[in-house]
Amino acid sequence: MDDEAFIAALQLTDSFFPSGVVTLSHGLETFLSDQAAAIDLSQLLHDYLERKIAPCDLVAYAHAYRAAAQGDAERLHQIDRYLDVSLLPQELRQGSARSGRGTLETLRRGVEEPLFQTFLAGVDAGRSSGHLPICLGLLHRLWRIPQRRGGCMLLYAFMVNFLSAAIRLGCLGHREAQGLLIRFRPQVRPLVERALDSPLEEIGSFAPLADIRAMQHAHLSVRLFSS
Amino acid sequence: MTGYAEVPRLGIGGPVGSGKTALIEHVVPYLQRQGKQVAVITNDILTQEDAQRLRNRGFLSPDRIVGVETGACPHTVIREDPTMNLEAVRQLEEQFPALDLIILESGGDNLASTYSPELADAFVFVIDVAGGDDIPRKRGLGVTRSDLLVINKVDLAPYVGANLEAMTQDAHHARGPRPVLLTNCKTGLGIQDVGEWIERELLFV
Repeated sequence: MDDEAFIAALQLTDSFFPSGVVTLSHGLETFLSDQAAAIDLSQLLHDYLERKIAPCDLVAYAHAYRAAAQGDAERLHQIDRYLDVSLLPQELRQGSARSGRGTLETLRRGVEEPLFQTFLAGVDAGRSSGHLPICLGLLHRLWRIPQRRGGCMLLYAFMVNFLSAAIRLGCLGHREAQGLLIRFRPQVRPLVERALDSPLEEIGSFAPLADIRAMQHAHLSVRLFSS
Repeated sequence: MTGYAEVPRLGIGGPVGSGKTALIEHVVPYLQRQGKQVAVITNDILTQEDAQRLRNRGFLSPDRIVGVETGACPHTVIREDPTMNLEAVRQLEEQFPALDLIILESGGDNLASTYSPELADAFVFVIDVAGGDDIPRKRGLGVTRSDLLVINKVDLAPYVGANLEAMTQDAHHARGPRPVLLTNCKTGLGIQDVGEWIERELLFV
């Protein structure tokens, strides 16, 4: 990766980048609202990565990256719609779409590449929702970030978002969070490599408890997070 | 461009309990009496509670009041990362093309909170006498940078030992030429002044 691509990677992964993910807890808020439930955050994070983010978001990301390499906006919309129907809980689907759409809006005037503008015009026209993994696949390709590195970035960004939500929900300390990030490092690469080889038709997640918690979130009377 | 007309947006921020929602409950009906169409986005911890409180008042149809959660970061979602608020704005503009104004109510925050200029065209900061008459002297960014400073609950000054005159003078001193208005949202005192300021500054009446 050249230096410019590396700086682009930092820009997109930094929590300073405004994509709205600060409002998402991915159902974690529901887990914590249940006083009786014992939570192993490390196990929960592992399950999310292994069963949801890698086999679903990351597979869509990898295919979007390849579609962008071929300059195929139509295929980007197709993958985007595929991901949309694969995200079962409404709030997770909305969170993914809104943060992707927000990313596109943030860069609307800053990215002139025709493929980006064509895809954006398609999302404006309602052709697909503009889910975050699709937008990142497109941007990573346009900004010459290698696909495997980009996949690592996507998983890392999820972990940061998840652990940051846990800190704000008062169930994790800042040092524990950094310790978990160190412990999870070796798990990232195998997950990315598996996802990069998966056909689009195999996209999907199986994490029933997480999905049920995410669905229950919509009915919480006290909510800090949008998912 | 998305093709949708951009509706003027007014931020209303301020500490917890200073009267942001109460101000909206009075100012929106005033603007409606002037023939204006308004929608409100609320950001709060209990997002459904504030939105519900406004809905229960009945002056706005429920679909014109949208709650946006802040992820426990009320200042972040109006300043560093207003993405979800901008998404709510975009959806309201799509749904109600004839809107004249969108009000974005912040969750209760500290005195340093400000709005991203890309989220709000102008913002009002609401403080109240019961929060302490030394607030203007602290010169937080909300007090010094807001386009309008509202000092609410002026009727309570004698009961909480607040010197309203000194508070107002300090506010003018901290803000230079930027306006300061006094309100009592219980009686409606000063509401028309706030409404006229909004019309003048944002709706160009």
